[in-house]
Amino acid sequence: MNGVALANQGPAPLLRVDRLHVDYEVGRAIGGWPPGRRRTRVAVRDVSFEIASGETFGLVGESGSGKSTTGRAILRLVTPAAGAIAFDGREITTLGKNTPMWYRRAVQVVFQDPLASLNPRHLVGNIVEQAVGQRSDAPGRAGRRRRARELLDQVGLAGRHAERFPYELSGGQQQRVAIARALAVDPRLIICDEAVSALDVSTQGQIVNLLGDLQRELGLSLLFISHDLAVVRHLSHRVGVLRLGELVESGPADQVYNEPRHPYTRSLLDSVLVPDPVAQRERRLARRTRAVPRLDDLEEEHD
Amino acid sequence: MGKLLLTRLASLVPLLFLVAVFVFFLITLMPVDPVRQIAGEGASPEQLEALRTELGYDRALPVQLLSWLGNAVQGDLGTSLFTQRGVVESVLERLPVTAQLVGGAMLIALLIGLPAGVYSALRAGSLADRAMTALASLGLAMPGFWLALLLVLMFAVWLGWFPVIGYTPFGDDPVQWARGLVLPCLALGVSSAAVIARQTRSAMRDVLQSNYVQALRATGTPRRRIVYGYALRNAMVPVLTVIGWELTVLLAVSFVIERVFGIAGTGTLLIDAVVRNDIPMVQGGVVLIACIVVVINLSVDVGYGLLNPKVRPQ
Amino acid sequence: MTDPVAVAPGGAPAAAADRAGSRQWRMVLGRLARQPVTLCCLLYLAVVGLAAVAPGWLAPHDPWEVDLPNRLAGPGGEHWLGTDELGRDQFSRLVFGAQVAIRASFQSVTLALLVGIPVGLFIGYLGGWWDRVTMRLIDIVAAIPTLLFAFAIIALLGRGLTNAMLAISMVFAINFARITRGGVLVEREQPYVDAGRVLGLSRRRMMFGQILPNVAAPLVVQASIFLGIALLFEAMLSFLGLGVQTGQVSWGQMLDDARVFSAEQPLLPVFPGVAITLTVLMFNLLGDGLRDALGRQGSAGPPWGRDGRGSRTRWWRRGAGRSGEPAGPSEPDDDGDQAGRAQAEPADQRVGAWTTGGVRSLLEVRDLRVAFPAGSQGLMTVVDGVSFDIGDGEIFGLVGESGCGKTQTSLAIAGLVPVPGQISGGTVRLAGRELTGLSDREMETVRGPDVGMIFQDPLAALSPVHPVRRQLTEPLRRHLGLSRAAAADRAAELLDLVGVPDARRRLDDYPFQFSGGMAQRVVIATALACEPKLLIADEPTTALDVTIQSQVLDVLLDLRDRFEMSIMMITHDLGVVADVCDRVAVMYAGQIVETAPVEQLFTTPRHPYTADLLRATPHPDQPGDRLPSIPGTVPSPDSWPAGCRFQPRCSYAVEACGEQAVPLVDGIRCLRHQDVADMLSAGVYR
Repeated sequence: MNGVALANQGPAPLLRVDRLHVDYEVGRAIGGWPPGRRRTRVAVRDVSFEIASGETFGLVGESGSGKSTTGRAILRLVTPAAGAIAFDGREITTLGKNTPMWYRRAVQVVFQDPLASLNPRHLVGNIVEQAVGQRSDAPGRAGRRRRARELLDQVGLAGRHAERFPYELSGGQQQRVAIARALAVDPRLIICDEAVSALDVSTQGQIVNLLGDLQRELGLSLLFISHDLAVVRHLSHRVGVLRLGELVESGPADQVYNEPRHPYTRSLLDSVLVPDPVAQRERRLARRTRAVPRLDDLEEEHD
Repeated sequence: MGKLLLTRLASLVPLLFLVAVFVFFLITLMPVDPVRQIAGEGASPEQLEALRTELGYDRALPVQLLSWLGNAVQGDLGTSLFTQRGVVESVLERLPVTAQLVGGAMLIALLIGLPAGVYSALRAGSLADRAMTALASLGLAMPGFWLALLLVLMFAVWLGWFPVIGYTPFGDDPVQWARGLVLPCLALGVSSAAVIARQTRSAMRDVLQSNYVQALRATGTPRRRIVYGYALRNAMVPVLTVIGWELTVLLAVSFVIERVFGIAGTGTLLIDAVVRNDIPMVQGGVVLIACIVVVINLSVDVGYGLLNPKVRPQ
Repeated sequence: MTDPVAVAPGGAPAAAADRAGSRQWRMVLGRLARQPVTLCCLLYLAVVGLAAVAPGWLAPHDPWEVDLPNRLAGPGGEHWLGTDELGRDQFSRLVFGAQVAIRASFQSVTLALLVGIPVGLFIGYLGGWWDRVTMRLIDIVAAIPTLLFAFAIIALLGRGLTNAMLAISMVFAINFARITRGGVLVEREQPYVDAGRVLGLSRRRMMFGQILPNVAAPLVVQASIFLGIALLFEAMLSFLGLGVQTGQVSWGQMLDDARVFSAEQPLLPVFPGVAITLTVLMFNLLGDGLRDALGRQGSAGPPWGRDGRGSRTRWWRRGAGRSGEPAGPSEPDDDGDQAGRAQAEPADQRVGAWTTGGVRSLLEVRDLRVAFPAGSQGLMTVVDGVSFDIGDGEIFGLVGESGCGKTQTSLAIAGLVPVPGQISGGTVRLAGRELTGLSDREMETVRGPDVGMIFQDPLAALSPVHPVRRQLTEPLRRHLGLSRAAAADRAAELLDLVGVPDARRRLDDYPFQFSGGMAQRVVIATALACEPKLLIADEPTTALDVTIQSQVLDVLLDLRDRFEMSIMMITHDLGVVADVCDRVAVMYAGQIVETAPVEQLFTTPRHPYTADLLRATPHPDQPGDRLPSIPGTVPSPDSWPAGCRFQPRCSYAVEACGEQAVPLVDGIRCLRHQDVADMLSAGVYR
């Protein structure tokens, strides 16, 4: 990957995604006997972006746009059909079947559904301790326990929460546990896949702020995947807009939100409902008088 | 719909082929010598060898397999060692009796199980529901052959309403035919009725909790219409799967019930073969019955497609 | 005291797992202990187990002792259950039969568990070729009925119980493998498994440490049921003479003998059969008990209740009889606080809080309460004294976070509170007609022509196995009495109206063939089929993408004008409120905390919660650093704080806020709303 000229100035990016292409299997020919032909559909097509150290990159798109698939490809939970993903200059798509531990420690994830992302049969304390055990310098039993408590404290949970089952915590608290688990291995990049979408508005802010604080404190990079344009705007330095697996636009957040270049970005922004009746009524009027591309077609297409 | 049937039929062929291969290896790869089993304890080595040659077990394994499969394709699954008749011929001759038993039992099971399950789901938690659940548990736990013994004792021996044993072909005497089938079918069908009732109840309860039932209520659709016009069909989707399993179970359990009523069906044929170490008969019988099971499963699949549009090929 | 875990032997994960495990098992055991049926099963099985381990200890006679003079004796005297054809003691033979039965059951099930579970975990987790090849093998064996498979094995290996049970064990193992695999396939899609993979946990730890505990429950239940089935098979094979051989006693074999002599001694076949049935029954009931103890508690019945009287039950009628005292006799467990609260706000004092401003009101909701039974504590109120009006043609927003009671409020209006919940007080008047006293049957004529409803998940709101035509024409034929053909024509018109392209053809499509946005249009068309006066829309766009969301809202706005109906819009999204609503009520913890016209609510919120919620809502035009948030979490209905329910999270709260229930006065439920308004208008946020 040395030959590729760096697109932006400054230090080499922490993560570089280059013409990523992911297919997913939509099933096999019905009958299944003998094993039917694989039927695939394109989930992500030619997506390229970079994330610098300490930067938040927001990836927005509607359902079926491939935003989560992109995240899963970076996490090596799905195998890309083509393209390159380089982390800290090292190519990771060619690593083969097993993912080396250095990469597992470097890239972590926080998922959308906070309850489902914690093992229901484990105590909160176990979940974080288990993660601490995956460190290269994993401490002994007592040390793990101590470190887990520190992590829970760092995300704003009390020691007593360690002795609870995940379902005994509120959604916001569950998401804090998920963040603590991600932090346990000192990652450099955390992929937040709709990390605040399932939360109530009043707790959503707490988690968004926690992520922002941790980023500043620890110098983390974040890949913030969301369908919620307002939240992405709030957190991201740069933003990419995905539509039907293709990155239609990317750039600094201000630029994408204030001067969108792609009509899809435009219509997406127009569709956002702002919590202000006067402004929203103007927006509605403007949107409905403007000739909007037949979005029904889009919908049917990616359904 | 035709497409679904076609794909299912197409998938049937390799499965049947593999069943035949599996049964072949089951027989040949067991750590016992089939020839010794057939010949019995007292056979001399010379007798064993002669028998081995006669039955073709001296040939190389691949040759045996190919000849077994080749014959199977032509509808020849071997010859009984005792009656010297073809396995397929013997089984097919007995099959109608078994089919009548299984069919009658399933009819009884459906007639009891479906209404009981629906009623129970609609009255969830009531005394009737609890009584039904308890009865179903009892029906599941009761061995069919024991129930058969008790039924014979009560209705045939004491009351004399039905014949104690035997089967009369329909052509001979339709009334006698029906009387002879009542007790065996009842004994056979009770446990399936229990299974179907339980499954119907739980499926119906799940369906009644679903959002579309709420949506239907929100349009003012009356309960009866919701239950019988919408919920029932949805609930039948999982019940159908269970009906398919039960058909298979009934087929097997009918072998035992035959014994109690002295009906000469497929079961008697196969049990006799097992007792006499008639290995070719057992081998062929197993494959043939497996074919029937596969066809039952196929019909269930097709019925599933009729009920649930989602599994139809698009 | 030193930390018990820190000094416990063993590795940390093991110790931690023990902590989780022991707590969970204690919970399960606690639930089992509360099931009398299960306790009886365990007691019975313990006795049978004892008979199996030490039969000589329980049996009064030698089971092989022949006593020809006493042959075929009836029960009583020396031989409790009588004797068989050789004069052998039936009871002793039953006791010895337990040994064979229990051993056969446990051996076959244990072996099957040991083989089946690892295979299922392995193929389920790894997938790919391993999975496909193994599943084909399983398909093949599954095509052979178990009994027949046992026949084949017996024919080959010779008669004897061990051989037969080996065959049965193999079939069980296949079933365990299947169940395990099915569970693993479900669990494998769970994010916690992905999170474990991202942490780089080894395969072994993923399979046995993470996934197995989550798929274990159905396996335990199935194992219990298989114990019974194994016993049945043993009895069946012994009955056929293919199972136990001479020198052993089996219940099935006893039945075979009894068959011959039942004419002479009719009680002979009774006892072995009872033993089999009872033991199998106990295994099955134990399985049922385990299922209840391990799984979620399902109280599922029909949503209208089994008594056929709808969601309103007798005690509610009592409560409603004494208007003005909504805290009826059904709430004796409530602390005095609640009763005091109810009395502190007699209904007439709050008039004006919800007026529609001159417009004739279509819907009047007064002091509505919805409660659910909550264990032994009596009732849990989830909607607590909600009052509002909706004017003709008005779009009224009910906004709040999850668990605030907004959905239950809407269901109560339509008479759809799911059993065992109930309306525990208050009135709902639609166009002057009181709805709360109506039976479910009477409500069926209200829902559809007067009230329509649409829901959050449109695909779930349509019966999956019927073409949409059926559900769409249902209200047309039911309420308007249209013929089949006329209803289809009207349905096509409606679909066209809500913007479904190619409407007539799509009538025959099934729900799964529609995308989310299109399905929601179908649901809207169904709800509007009879042109109701009031449409209740419960989070109608939450499950949809933003671009689709605005289209669906457009449709609703257009239809409001066309049908001249009122819409009650339930949402958590202030953006939706700002977009379509005329007036809004904000709900928090079962109560309305503020009601206001939409502009007023957004420009000058009066309740601290409204103000906080507005500030916490991210705005797409405002890049920001920190998002203002509300400390703490939304309380659940069983832990609503005393006094003002927002007070623990409120930055304006003073001591008085926690002391007494705060009434809703002039559309605001806050003791300090004057002070708060002053501070907010001065730009002071706390």
